[in-house]
Amino acid sequence: MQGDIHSIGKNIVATLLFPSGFEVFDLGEDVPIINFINKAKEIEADIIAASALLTITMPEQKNTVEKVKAEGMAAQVETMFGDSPCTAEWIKEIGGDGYAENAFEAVRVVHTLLGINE
Amino acid sequence: MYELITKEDIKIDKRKRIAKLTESLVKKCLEKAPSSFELYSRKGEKHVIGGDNLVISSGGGAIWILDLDTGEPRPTTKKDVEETSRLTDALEHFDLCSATGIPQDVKSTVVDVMAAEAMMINTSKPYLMAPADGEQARYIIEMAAAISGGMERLANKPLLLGVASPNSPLRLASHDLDVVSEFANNKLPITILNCTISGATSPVTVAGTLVQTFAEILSMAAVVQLINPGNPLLLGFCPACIDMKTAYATFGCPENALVSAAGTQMLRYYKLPSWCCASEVDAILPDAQAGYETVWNTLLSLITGMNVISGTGHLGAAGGSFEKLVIDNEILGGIKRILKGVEVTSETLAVDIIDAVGPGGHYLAHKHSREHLKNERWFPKISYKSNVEEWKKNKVDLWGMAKKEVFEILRTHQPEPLPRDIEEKIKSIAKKAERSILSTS
Repeated sequence: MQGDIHSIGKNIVATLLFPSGFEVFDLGEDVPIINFINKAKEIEADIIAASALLTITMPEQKNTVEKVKAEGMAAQVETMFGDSPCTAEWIKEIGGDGYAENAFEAVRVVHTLLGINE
Repeated sequence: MYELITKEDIKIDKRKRIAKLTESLVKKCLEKAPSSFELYSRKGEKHVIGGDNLVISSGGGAIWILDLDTGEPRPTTKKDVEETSRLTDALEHFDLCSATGIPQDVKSTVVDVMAAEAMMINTSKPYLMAPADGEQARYIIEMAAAISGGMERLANKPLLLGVASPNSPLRLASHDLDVVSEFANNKLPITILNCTISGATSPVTVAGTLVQTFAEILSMAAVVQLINPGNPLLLGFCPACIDMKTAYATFGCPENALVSAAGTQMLRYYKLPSWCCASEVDAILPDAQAGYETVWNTLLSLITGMNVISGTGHLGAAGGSFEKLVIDNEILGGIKRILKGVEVTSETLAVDIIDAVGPGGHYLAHKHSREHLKNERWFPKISYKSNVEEWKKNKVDLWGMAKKEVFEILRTHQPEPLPRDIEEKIKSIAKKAERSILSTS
């Protein structure tokens, strides 16, 4: 999320998604929400996923969900979030579609969100 | 920050946003850093950080805690920070207090300010805080100054120690540099705490992790000295290894103990005070795994001369526990005894006594036993030390004993209260921070 340059959690998730056959566009770190939106539109993404290690960047996850809705993309794009301070309760509170406790779980959540078998 | 470093002999690649500090500049900066400094409790007790001194702090930053009643993990609350601070206030081997948990029942952008408020009111021991950003650091410093009676007094007799970390590999993040700036601009001591994850954000080898760790902490230390030459400084390690089965950052590994121990030796070479999160573990319960992970990390670091240890009261996966604080207090008591070593004098060698007692005699009621017992022996508080028949009567394990101790302390112990007006001031600073930060986030 914007304001957060911690990238290792995101890197691990991306690394594990790739061999499962998913196409991952890694937008890097310290990413403004508009970049997620633009890229998702450009590639017709199924999922927008983002991590926040810092407590101070967690609100950006909420803003992402709101932006996806505001752009009228909610029917096409699922949102999923994670990293250390994030909990399932938090993701539910902000209206995110998916949450994973760790990277392996994240791969399972992606399958579930897209309704495909592992 | 950019203006600060452009004045110096630093090669800057603006496009790649990389500044390379020369060896001579870093050396010049490190020479200005004091080899020791002092921290004070609000009652005026002094703790020297550096040299051959050992100072013990409770650990900070747990996002979940073992519920005292149910024994189940649950999200940490502000009330937990109040109670763990009060518990730390009572535990005799703890010199400093850190906010054990990151409260999950307050807004995420003000967690550190809320934790500081809960802690400062509930212990008179010096405070350790790792604010996530400069703005929260500013409010926390303002709270500490309210206790000291102004910024100047706080700088002269600091009762607050800050923590900021490099972002491995090889980066200094702006939110961490903001924290460093807030502390150094106010002449307050700051810890540069390295948090590498070996195999993920640092080399998988211990030696390689050490090389990268020192590149990171020494460059951040140089920044501190560029902001305020002579600023009190502490360098340290909270090393983790990535677990290749779970892709999780794990803290209780023996390799981490080696990073901290070798790092201590390096810092003694640089004549700088050292710190490590020695009691970080991966066990989710205060069980045998929690015990051995704590001991191998703590004992090895302390034998090599570590100055400050933290991470106490923690469990795995960023967890915390009231009972683990009490257990760590017990472990540290035993380790302090080990560090005292073997006293060798004609009195302790006891050759005449051995001769006088003779073959088949005993030492039970001997004057020599009475005279040396208290100095030679460590007296545990919660460890089991009797026979199996005695154990069968209550069947209580260490976790149970620790829980009993926690309840007793929380029932009876009250910290030295802050004067009413200062407590109100701290609460009003917290409210002001909440209003201001939440209005912008």
